[in-house]
Amino acid sequence: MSRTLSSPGTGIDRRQFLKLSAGGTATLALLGASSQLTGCSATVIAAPGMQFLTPDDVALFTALLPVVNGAAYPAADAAVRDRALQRIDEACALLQAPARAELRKLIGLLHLRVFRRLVCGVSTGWDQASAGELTAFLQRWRDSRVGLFNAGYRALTKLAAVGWWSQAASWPGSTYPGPPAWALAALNAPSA
Amino acid sequence: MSTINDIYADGIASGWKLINAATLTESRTFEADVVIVGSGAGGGTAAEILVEAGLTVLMLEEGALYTAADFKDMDEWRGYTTLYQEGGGRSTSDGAVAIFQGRAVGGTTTVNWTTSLRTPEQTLAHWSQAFGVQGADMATMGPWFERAEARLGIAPWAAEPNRNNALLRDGCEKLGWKWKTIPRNVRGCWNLGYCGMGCPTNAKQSMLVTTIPAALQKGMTLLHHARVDRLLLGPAGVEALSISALGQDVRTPTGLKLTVRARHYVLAGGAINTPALLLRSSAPDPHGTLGRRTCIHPVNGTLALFDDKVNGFHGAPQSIYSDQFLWPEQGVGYKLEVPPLQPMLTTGLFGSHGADLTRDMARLDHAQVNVALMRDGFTEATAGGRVRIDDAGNPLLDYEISDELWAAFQRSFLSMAEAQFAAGARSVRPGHLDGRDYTSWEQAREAIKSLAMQKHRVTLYTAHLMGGCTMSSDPGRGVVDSNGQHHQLPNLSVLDGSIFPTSIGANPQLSIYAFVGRNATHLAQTLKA
Repeated sequence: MSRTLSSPGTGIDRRQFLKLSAGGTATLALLGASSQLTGCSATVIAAPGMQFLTPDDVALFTALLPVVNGAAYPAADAAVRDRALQRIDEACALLQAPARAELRKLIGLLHLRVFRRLVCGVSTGWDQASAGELTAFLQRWRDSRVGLFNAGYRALTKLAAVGWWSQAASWPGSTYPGPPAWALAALNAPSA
Repeated sequence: MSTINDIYADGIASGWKLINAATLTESRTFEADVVIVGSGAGGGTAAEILVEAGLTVLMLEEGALYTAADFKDMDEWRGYTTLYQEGGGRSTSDGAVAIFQGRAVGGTTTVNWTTSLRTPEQTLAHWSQAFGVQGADMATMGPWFERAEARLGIAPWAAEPNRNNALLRDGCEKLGWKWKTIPRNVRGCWNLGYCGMGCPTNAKQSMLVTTIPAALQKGMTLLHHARVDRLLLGPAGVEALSISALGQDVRTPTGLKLTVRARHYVLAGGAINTPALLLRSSAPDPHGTLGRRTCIHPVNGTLALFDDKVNGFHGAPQSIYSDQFLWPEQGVGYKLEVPPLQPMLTTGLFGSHGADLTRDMARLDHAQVNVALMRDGFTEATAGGRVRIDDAGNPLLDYEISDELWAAFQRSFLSMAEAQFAAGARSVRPGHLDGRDYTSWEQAREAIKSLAMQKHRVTLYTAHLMGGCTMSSDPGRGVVDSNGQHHQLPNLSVLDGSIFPTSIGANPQLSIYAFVGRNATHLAQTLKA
């Protein structure tokens, strides 16, 4: 796993990251508390046309979509991207309040510069981060022995994956032919 | 032309009493002999029995009414976001176990995969011995299983299993393990594979197309988009229900409050929402049993690749199971089954991203997945989780995983991989962040033994929610008695999967039909006396 944990240019090496991970729970709790102190949750306003995602969240998931889904994701297709973002927003909005609050806490941390730099290894805003930095971030959280980072990895990748692999445009990439054509035709034929 | 009857359009035309609370503009008080909260396996079964006994029944459902006409696209996104709790995104409070539970008229029966197995005799015996459940022996329960099987067309799947299922059978056969064909609640099934998105042909004999239409035909009122906030309690028991009407989005309250008064109150919201409603209502709980012992059949899985196409996204999703490991002499037992493999559902199993996820998805047609369902609740170390509520009354499910349960997950990874290699898999990967595509049984066996068994590293699911209102003849150990009657509130019954003292050891729908059939019949007799 060491191949993915050191990330040149971010000023954090494997040893430092593991040290941080060892105190990861405390770090998350501390930063979670500070995000509340700075009034994060009070100032959350959804982006236009969104129910849950803020403009910063939209930037985050716009950056994550191609990195989570890989080459199968048509990064240049704005319609696919917009639909994916709409679906991520919908998936978040459909959660009940407790799960929505947990997700907001996680995403709130990702928008804190110090957290992004130290815990994610990303030194710029999400929209400026390179694909390499983003991939290294995901791999770190995936490989971490701290359950909270694994949980964060699961949540972010699940949302980004669902945004794309729920779209019919993704089917060629998953060898899924869609529902049987004969059945679709039979079920959707106009009534006589 | 489409040949699927639109049961509800025809019914409404013939005068069925269906009310969408989102469309109401004035506060109202409803009255009935019996009000049933929830329209799933428990509520649907109870409704038909109570209506046939001549009682006036009002059924409440928080979700929306969708019918076969809405299911014709067989689309995953539409299915999960409209028919499931929290848009399919529900999980345990720590996010470690994904929860698939229905939220629409018909409840989980609208979206389940049709597996209809009786409660195992060992489970019934355990409930009798450890919880003093009366009348839970097979001789007493047999007729109730038969009644449900006849009502819902339950019979072993007669067609050839799809290859995803056939490979589980083949692996078991090669290894000399037990396997059986799954009985399904279908009539005239088209063998499409989209049971989880709502059956587009009305073949699945869910509550949506069987007991609920039958009860509506005999005068039941169904109020949907209606969330029960709390039971109003008085000296004589439950005095009323306080309800919020939900808007057309099925989430945002319209602000309109509704009231229901009834002679008897039946809770059938399932093993998360029923205990949560009782907790919100500050229902008496003198022995601290409410919301405890929530069992979930937690599920792990292994993904195999085969040289020939499997096409696990098509065909009846579950038709073969193995109980080879369900009742071990030591440790927690588990049942082996398979899930359907449509792409959106399958992405979650991989736990990969980037080039790995692109590659994993590009082989979906060659993938076969086994899952193991843990039989939790039978030992102290696996006594289930706990439903609690937050300050606003929202339900949360805490579920801890003991070493005993982790050991069973590890054993089941081995069993599932062994069966897949025996069936001819070219590689097998456990659903675990450290899992790789192992190319031989020997390699897989060694690797699986060293996997860190931890939350979030192991991919975990549940589709079976049981317990939280334990049924016991002893008020010190249960919330309800053997008839589902609440121990402290005389005009309240719980008629859903939350009464089970442990997990079932089989997919729970037929257990719910049988126990609710028995208990609703008893209730009808009591109310008519």
